Amino acid sequence: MGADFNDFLKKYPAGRRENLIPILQDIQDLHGYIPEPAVAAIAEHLEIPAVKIFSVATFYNEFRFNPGGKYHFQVCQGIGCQVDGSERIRAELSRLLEIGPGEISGDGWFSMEWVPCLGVCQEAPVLSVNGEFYPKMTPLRVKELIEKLQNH
Amino acid sequence: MGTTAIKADLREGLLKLITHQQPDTDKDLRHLGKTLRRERIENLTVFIDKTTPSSIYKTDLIAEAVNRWSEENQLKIDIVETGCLGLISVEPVIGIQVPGRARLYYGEIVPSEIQGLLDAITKQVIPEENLIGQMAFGTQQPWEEIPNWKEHPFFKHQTRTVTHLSGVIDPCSISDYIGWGGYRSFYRSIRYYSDTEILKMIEGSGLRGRSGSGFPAAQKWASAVGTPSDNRFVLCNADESDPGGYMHRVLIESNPHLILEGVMLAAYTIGANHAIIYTRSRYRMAVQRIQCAINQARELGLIGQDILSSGYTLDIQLKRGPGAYVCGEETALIASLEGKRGSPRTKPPYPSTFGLFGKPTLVHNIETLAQVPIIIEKGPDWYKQTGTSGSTGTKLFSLSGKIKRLGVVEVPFGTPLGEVINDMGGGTASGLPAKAVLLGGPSGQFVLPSKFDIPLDIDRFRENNQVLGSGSMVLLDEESCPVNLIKNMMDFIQQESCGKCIPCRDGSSRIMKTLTLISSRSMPEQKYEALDRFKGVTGMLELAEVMQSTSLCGLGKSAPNPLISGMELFREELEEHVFDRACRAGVCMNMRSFTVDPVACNGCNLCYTKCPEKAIIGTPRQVHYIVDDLCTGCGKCFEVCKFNAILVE
Repeated sequence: MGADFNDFLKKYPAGRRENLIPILQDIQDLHGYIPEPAVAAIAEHLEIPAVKIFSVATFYNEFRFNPGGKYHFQVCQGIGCQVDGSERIRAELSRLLEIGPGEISGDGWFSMEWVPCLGVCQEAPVLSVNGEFYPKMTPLRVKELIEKLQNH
Repeated sequence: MGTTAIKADLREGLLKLITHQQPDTDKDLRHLGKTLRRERIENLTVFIDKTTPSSIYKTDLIAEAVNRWSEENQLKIDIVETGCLGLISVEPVIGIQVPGRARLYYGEIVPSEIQGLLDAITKQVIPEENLIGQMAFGTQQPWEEIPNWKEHPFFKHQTRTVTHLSGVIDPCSISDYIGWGGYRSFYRSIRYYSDTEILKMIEGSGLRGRSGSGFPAAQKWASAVGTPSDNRFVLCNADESDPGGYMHRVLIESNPHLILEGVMLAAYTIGANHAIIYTRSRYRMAVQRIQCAINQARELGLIGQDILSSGYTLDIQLKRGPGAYVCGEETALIASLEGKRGSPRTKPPYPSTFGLFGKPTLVHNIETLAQVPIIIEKGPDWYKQTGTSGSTGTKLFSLSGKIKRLGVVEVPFGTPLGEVINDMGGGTASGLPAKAVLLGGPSGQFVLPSKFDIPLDIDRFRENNQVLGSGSMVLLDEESCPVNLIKNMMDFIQQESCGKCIPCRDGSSRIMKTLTLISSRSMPEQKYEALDRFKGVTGMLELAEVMQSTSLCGLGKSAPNPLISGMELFREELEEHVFDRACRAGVCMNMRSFTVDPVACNGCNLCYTKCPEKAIIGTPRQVHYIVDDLCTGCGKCFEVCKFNAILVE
């Protein structure tokens, strides 16, 4: 796998640290997450210690080091959604799926993250599953949705 | 979407429209302009709003319905994807234009209504249901007895300068923008104006930064120009990480070329050959549209080497922000672009003298830069007429929360807050009395309805030790709990704090902990836990003040604002949480108390089996009972009960 990354990294100039974030983004776009061999390959290519890469990648919300679930839940954390009760949605999701934000369920089906305003405040609180929006959620509807997805 | 290539035969016309002294005097160009503005169309045209909020309504199905109607009726229809008018609560919005007549805008359209709507309009009958209004340009004949869209209460008091093309043009088409006079300011500047002349115009216009601090733009520009260097940068901050605001995203998605022109003008003035637009990676559509705009401008030769034979070279790059609230701070943003953690550093040196890679860098947010082409086009004196003497021009605000009409409004500085909330926003959606407005998101403060006459002006807010903020407005009604909201915002700050300064990093988590404790029911406490909670409450305000005075950057300094203003304005409600352990709005979910309605309960035993704390006692076919001491207020019983027998207090 490491060799693949070396080929992939060839299009970025070596030793230029400012390319670190774009490289990480491109790898995540490609794989859905940042695999560990990639970090070692980037470290060699950009000539910076791997620990620095972890330091940068963990700082930003976007990057993750484990693959997402088959269904990836994003709960809007915008103030509009909070006013309309997104906290209950988050609690219900965590309780039903037994995972926290940034985690993946044991069977690999569900993963979840809390995201800043998705910008559909008129339908608050909103939940997005693999990019598809579910408006005006209630804890009961969350439960129904999960049951529907599980039986799919 | 992606790139829409410019047709070869159009290219020359577009360049002429940009470079001609007075395109209106040339018959061909006047004609071309009319076509590009869609003032003159050949076929019936349907304009479909295609932005992030509208995508939730499956606008593709609307387009399909339009195509089906077109096939059935053997009538050619052009479909144009537009940006957003700003009125988001009635999405999806569509516009229908018959050749020669004014365009009609409808809101809340479902695909099944398309057929009836098109049937009627082609027969010159205008259905008034869901009608927003008509929009007429130039020689188009308006429909009789149909209200103008400007008479709609949401748009009536707006002054649309940066949003005047939002929802009207196709954001992915450079020819639409040029048809409306786009890139003429840029051409005039690189051709006829020197940098000092533009600087003078910016200074004369009184343009201030829109990000909240309201720093005069001309000072920043002059300082970047005045620093000797072989290279300079312009950095456009389009990251918009305020969790309550979405006005920047709507502006990018509706008119990306305006932002690009603003960036180009700023770059030319300070003599920068590189500019970077930094947009949040999660705003996928915004990222696509900016990239598309850059590609088109490059194709037309507006970006690149020797632009329009002026000798000026400029390259614009789009960088995707990996998501961090603190990157709204300019030095953190620069660190992020250099591939580091987005931690702010001490200032001075300011970025305008020592910025990206140590070069002078002009950092502005997109709303500030979007004003620049308008200032150049209309002149500083025209620009100064709007707004107040201290804060000129207009400001975008996004309305959300419990408001009736959600959306993005553009109003002159100095407009009273009440006018935006009550006249444009239409007050609360529920009809309940408003409790307060949270202005400026997690760095802002609450404003009570009794203070709604306060003008939205940077200096007036500063006099009262408040901040106008980035422009997000969240309305709370009687059913919202400020304590809960403050807690959630502190949680956000705690996650987003970069961790560099202790007051911000530890202060926010400490305040968060205290607020969590006071917004839950009483629980068995051991050892010093009760004392700790008590200390947390009494020391909260002092801690907030320490955060304000000792944090390095704007994030930490302004993070306690909602708490401080909330403690002052909602003292009674906060004390209810502390002493009575009650949330009058019923929002704090760990504080609710549940009882069984003995009349409605038929003893189905479902709540008994579902209660995670085993706090419910009862046998089948008998009325159940909730033991208050064991209940944690999770609300599970309430959710599962099919007979509405669980009562919430």
